[in-house]
Amino acid sequence: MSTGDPTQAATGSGHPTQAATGSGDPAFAAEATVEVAELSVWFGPKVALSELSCSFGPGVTGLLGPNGAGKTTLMRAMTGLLGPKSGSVRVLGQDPRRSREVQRSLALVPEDEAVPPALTARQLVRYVADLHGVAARMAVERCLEEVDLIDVADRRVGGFSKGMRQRAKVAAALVADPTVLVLDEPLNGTDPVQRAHLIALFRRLGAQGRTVIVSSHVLHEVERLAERQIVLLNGRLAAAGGHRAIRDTMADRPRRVLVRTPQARQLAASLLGIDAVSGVTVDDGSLVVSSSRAGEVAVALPRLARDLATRLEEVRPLDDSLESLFRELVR
Amino acid sequence: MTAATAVLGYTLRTNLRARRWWALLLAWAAAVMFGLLSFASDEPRQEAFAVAADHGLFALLIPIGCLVIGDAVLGAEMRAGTFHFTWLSPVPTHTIVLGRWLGGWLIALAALVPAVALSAIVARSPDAIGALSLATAAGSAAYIGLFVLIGCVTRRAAVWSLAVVFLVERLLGAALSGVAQLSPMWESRAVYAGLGPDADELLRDGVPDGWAAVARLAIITVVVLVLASWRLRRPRLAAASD
Amino acid sequence: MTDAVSAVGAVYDRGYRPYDGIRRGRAGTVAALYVASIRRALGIRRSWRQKVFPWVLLAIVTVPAVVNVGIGYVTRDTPAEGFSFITYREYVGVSSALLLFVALTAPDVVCPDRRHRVLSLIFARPLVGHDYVLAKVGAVTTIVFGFSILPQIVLFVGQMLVSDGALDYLRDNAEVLWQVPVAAGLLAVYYAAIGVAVASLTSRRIVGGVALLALALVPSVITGAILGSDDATGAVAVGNLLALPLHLRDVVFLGHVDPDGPLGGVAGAGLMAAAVYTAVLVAAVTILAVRYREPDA
Repeated sequence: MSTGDPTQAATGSGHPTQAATGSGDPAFAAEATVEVAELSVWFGPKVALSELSCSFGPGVTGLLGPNGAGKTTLMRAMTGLLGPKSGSVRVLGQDPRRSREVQRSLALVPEDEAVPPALTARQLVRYVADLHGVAARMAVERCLEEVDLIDVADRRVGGFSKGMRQRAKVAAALVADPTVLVLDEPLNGTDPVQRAHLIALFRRLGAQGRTVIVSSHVLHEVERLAERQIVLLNGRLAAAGGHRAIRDTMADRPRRVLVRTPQARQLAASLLGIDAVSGVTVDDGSLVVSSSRAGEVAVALPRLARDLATRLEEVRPLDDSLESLFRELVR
Repeated sequence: MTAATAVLGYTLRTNLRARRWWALLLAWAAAVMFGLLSFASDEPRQEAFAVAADHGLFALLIPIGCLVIGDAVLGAEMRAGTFHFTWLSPVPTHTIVLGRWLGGWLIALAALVPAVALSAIVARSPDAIGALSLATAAGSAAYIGLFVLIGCVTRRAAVWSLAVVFLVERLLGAALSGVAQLSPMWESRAVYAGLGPDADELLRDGVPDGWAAVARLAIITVVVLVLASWRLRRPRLAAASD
Repeated sequence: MTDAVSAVGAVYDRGYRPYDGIRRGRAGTVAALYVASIRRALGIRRSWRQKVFPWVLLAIVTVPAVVNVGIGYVTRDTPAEGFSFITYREYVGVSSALLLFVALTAPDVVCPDRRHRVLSLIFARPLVGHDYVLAKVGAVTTIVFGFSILPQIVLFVGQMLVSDGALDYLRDNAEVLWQVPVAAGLLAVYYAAIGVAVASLTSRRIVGGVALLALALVPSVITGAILGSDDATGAVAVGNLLALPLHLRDVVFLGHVDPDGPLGGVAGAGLMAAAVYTAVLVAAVTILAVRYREPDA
């Protein structure tokens, strides 16, 4: 665990940066820092989370789900802002709602845009630093630089745009040097340059061994950012683990691969002869192969193409992305 | 800077804003007007002022001023959704409550004590300033604490605060001295009744006056602040959302 | 046979379908806003927490009616001594409960729209500024009117039932049946207009409520101090905004202002009271017209 400055990359870390998904239930991370056990939260008749059990460990974990799935509720429960109706949440072994000490290692960047409008960015970050007992003045400056707010640090956050407010909240969270960082849609309202910057920052924080939990709807970026995903649906756990691994377990839904070749129809006919292929769609100059055993098709395809003496101009899986996985899961 | 000082500084900074000066002017104008009212009566100067202070300052200006300030320092922030910056930290809840309360009290002192002093000057009762300031200071301490507590406990702080002042304190407190003894409104009035010049008309059976009332107000302050610290350990900050 | 059945098929588009029904236009929009505001203020279709205050306050104001009827029943054979039964005229009054009720209801109906920036959404509908004002003031008027009239109904029906002859009672007190609603209506319109006007100046409910209470109570304190004692009379009493509708109530019930009240003996008191009442209403409506002229004001 690096001490002091959260914004510089750790050197020679011996800490694991990938949540182990090899052995055991992928919903539970090895060396878990945040443990959720049978957590249920409801607001009157609306059930937000239903007997959810999972855990988060060092590295970056994506928390995904459609709107209303319970992501924000889970994040608020993990930081202690919300109390579980049944079940429990433990952060570093302690209940965040009871222990004020564990709040020292915890930081939340909520989705809500609200910031104290009368403070400048510097004053806000300084305030949070003081609350956490961070005396170093340079810590505040470094955090503001890291989120690229140093030039506007003396302007009131009430006048900031949505993206700037988001970054101000991230800076305030970082100054506390948290072990566990929970980010609810942190990329909201940021432009592409800022997004790339923030993603690099979160990856660096994860590489330092912090537990970074990110929820976002920008799936192709979460894909780059997080090695491990937890997917919620209707307050329950829908899937967990690396997104390709999750996709592989959905064997009943065939993979689709696009192949562009001049002799599409002839190649299609040959492919249909293979047992592993469940269907082929042909278009001018391209075809889409559906198969549940994509590995076998991958081996057979070059051989068939060679036999037909045709060139393969492009071979691309159509639903390898997190986005298509997500669509499958919430269908 | 220590956490406690940081909370205090934050409270002052977020609440002392340029646009709020008009509220201060309004309070001072109201105080001047109540001071002038004492001339409408035929009674001797200081007794007339005591009555004007009773109806105007203790019954209206101080409760209303403290209500707006006391809600702003905590309740309004919890409803606005920025309280998590403070709560998600290792600072103990009693430090948070104390810092917020102290900020609110300082603002109330700066706004209300000069106002009541101005009122006494305008009414040509400068001897009353001392007792009046003490009553205002002690009363606002208890009031700010009470409204901080209400802000912690419920989201409908406006409703409950107004109900406490206008139903419980004014109505019930006027009828039942048991309620009046625990009421910042009546006790601050009683401080002035016991210590102010020619203010005997304001004395009331069953309600301690003078320095005993100051002590009573201090106790009320401590009790509400303890309750608020305890309540803040399990805040209700989130509504159904996702 | 089976071929004929399986030869027929259709795909139903169960996705988005536009609304084909009747569109009610401006009147419908105003009516919907009016009903929604009433529901919000009274906590209808919301949790019990939102219902507590309005209904508790209503209960408090109904207590004198219940007490009167109860005592009337208990003493129906032996006349009560020293207990003066409340009259219908006196019962149309401005109690702390009513004042608090308006101070809570009017801001609750108007301030959240401004605070949550919903006004621009509302004005994107076929609605103009004064429609909005009409709906909101109408809603608060209806609620305050109901608040004033329900205890009166309890009192009247109760008295009718405990009296010797219900129909005789009805006949003897028939004029009450139009006096009370008119007086309560004047009171309701007055307080609703002032309440909504004051609340429209701010987006925080607590500030709105406090401002309204100050506006009602401060002139009352001032006029009380100027008059000196409770028995004194003088034209300045017309400046007591809190009690202004009560003078009009007296005109409705008695034909002139109460001779025992603070305006007793003042020449032209009834006209003065009516003039100030109208002036206050005009001021309130003007404030509202200005505040809701620009949708995002």
